[in-house]
Amino acid sequence: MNIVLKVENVAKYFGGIRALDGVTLDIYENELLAIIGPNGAGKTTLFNVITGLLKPDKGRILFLGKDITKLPPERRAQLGIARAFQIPKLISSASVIDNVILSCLFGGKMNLNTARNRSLKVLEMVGLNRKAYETAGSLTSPEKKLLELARAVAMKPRVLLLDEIVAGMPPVEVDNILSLVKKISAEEKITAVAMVEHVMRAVKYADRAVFMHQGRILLEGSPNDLLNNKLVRDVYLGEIVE
Amino acid sequence: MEYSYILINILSGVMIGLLYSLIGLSLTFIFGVLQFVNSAEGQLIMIGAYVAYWLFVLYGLSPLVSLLIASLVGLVLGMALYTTVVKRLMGLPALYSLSAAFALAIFIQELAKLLWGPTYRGFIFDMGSLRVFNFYIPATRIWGSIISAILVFMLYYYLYRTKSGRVLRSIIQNPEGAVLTGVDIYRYYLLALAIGIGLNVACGSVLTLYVSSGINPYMGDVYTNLAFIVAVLGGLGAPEGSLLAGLIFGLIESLLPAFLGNIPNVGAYPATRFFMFVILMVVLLVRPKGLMGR
Amino acid sequence: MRPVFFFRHPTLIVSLAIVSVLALLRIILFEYAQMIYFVVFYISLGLAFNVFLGFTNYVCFGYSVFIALGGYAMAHAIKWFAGVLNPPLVIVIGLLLAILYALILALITGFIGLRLKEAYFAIATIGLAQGVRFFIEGFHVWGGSEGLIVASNIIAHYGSKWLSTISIDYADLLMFSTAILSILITYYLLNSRARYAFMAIKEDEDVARSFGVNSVKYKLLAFTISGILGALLGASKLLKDQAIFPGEAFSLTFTLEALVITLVGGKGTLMFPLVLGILYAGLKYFLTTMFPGLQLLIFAVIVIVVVELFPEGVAGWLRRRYKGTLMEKIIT
Repeated sequence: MNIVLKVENVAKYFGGIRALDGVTLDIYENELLAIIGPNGAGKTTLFNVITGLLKPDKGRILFLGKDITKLPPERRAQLGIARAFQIPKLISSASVIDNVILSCLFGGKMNLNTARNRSLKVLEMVGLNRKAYETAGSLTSPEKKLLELARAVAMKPRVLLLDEIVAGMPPVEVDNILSLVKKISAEEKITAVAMVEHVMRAVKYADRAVFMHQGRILLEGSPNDLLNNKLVRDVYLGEIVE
Repeated sequence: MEYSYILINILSGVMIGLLYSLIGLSLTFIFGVLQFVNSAEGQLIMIGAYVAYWLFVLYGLSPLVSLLIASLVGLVLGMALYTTVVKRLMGLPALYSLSAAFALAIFIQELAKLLWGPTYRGFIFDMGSLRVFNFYIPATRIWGSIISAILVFMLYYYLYRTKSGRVLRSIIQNPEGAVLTGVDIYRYYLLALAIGIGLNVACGSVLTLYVSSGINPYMGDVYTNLAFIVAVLGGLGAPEGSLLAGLIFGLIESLLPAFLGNIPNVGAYPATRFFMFVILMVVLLVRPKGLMGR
Repeated sequence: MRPVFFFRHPTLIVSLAIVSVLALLRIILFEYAQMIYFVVFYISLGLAFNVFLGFTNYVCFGYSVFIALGGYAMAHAIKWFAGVLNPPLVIVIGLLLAILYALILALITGFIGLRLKEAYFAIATIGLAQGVRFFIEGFHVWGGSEGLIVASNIIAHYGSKWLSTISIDYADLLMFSTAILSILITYYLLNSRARYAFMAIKEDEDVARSFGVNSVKYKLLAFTISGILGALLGASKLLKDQAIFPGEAFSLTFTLEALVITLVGGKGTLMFPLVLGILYAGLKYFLTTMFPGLQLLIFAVIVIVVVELFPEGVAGWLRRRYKGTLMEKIIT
């Protein structure tokens, strides 16, 4: 199987804190990978290093075989690494569709017309097309998450990084969104998806899972194996949401 | 060039450098806690200088005493500034607090001109001098350096050895984390601005121990620029860096005019100030975090 | 076609109309030429400054450095080419030099400062105007602290009639052109794909970059354009004043005035810096005659009050009041 994204022995320190302490992770073609772990394990920091918002103190990131460690975030986005943030960082004063157009224009390098058409299409995919011209700030929380997803998908990425996309949602919604993610990934030919998750129900949709704790990857395997693992359950101490 | 001449310049550089450390410390401390760039620092120093001037001229008080009063004035000003201006600007885009600080600087300057006129003022406060080699160092300067050093170390002691100081340091390092520990962050913001501005105005009075002439409403700009350079060099928001940065800068400023003065057709004073600016740019280009910044 | 064009580009039409009316007044009411120049100067200052402030939320505190460089550029053109070429050509060279000087400074300063956060950039630019000034004075270049006076060059090579033509007609023509150029550029930026980039950068630069926006490139673009417009302003100012002195040319006063215009008017919009430019000129004239010496104090207070209470300026307040109507479209 081909490796789409390779994190090679990455370390990131903040003063005395070892946020990432030698992380090596491969993300394969056509897989949905779940990254689980308690708060503070370093999951979001890992995403920040992969997308370029943080520079690692040690290690490399390789994307489709190419070393991108020195590339700035915008270049990585243009190459096809898209990210949905844990707390949706939308332009609240702009319209829903403008938020998506932005992603198409720059991450997707499209021209204005193509961007508009694609944005409408993607909004339809996630079910927000009726609210396309409302202000992004007026959306409900779950809708904002959908917009966040739409933005990431709109730029035709190769890799999609989702940071707690279903946090705080009822089980029905969790199923809907994960099915949507799977459907979109297939339709859009997104090569790989990695998601950081606390919600066990969501984790079960993944093909493979890794468990992070204190800046390191401790376990790897199928979601069920990991969720039933004694170490995982001990560390989580009930943080996993059923 | 005689060695004693160079040594005297080095000594002079260290002495003024201690004051510069204090000036930079005030700016970097306020920025570290509140994320507020105090562009009015120079103007507040001007206020401190005027305080020393008026207290001397009207009541014969020595600057050593005036600086205590100046600190109090600064403390009160700091609290007033926080409640009226700074508090509401926290959390808004930087451009608003930057513009407000800039406008504040001009406001203080123009107000001073309105109240005290544009004329240059000065006073003579002589405490004798110390002879070093063939040069005489005024005792007031020695006192100025000692007091600057004391104030710098007092702040360091406060930040590292007292409970509230440690809270302030934790706010500098991680504001969100600090809030999570249950700290009433607004009280600490108020405290930090009061201390910072208190130090700031006190600098003005200490300054008169070095130079007690040339006091005028427009004297502030030089010191604001100076504060910026020392603060950035030491690490903006990292108080630990100010001491070293101030000393380095004091040395550069003392030794540079001697070299520049030797180049024909070059005005030593403006050329030195140009180099001050170049140093700032170089630091921002090469290591914006400064010496001790994170 | 006409009414439709208006409804699709109301802001542009109204802005250009205002400037055209002023131009007409300038031609008809010749006695008021000086005052109209004053007004157009402030319109241009507001718009030029706004290109950077309004689109990136960064403030260039040393903005006067661009105005000064423009003035020096034009002075150089006159000093070097007067007598060699005819006046209009000399002026064109002056404009090209102004653009060149501003471009170089903007790229250098921008490269150093725009990769940093707003606070660092502010610190860098507060010292900028003074830095250049001290270079000129310290190393006695470009006339040193005595400055440059071009009136004598013009009289010597072209005669005193040209002096008044340049100082009155050419200066005004250039100033109006700068205003129109500023309007067109601002309008273009507000309606091109760059608009999305700026919107995102202002909201959260990290997030903008995560979605592919090269934030430094756009910040640099806005900064450079703003600087060049400022230099053109300065070039026309030199033609009017016939002299430039480092002591005043690099003062921070222009920044304060520009802040008043853009913040009170409404940063990032087109109409409001323009309208405020007009009002500002009026206010300044009023204060200069009634309360000389107090202007800076009052303007400083205005900036602080606006920042505290009405950060979005008049534009923001009006936009909320007239939400959804044609008026809202004009106020952009």
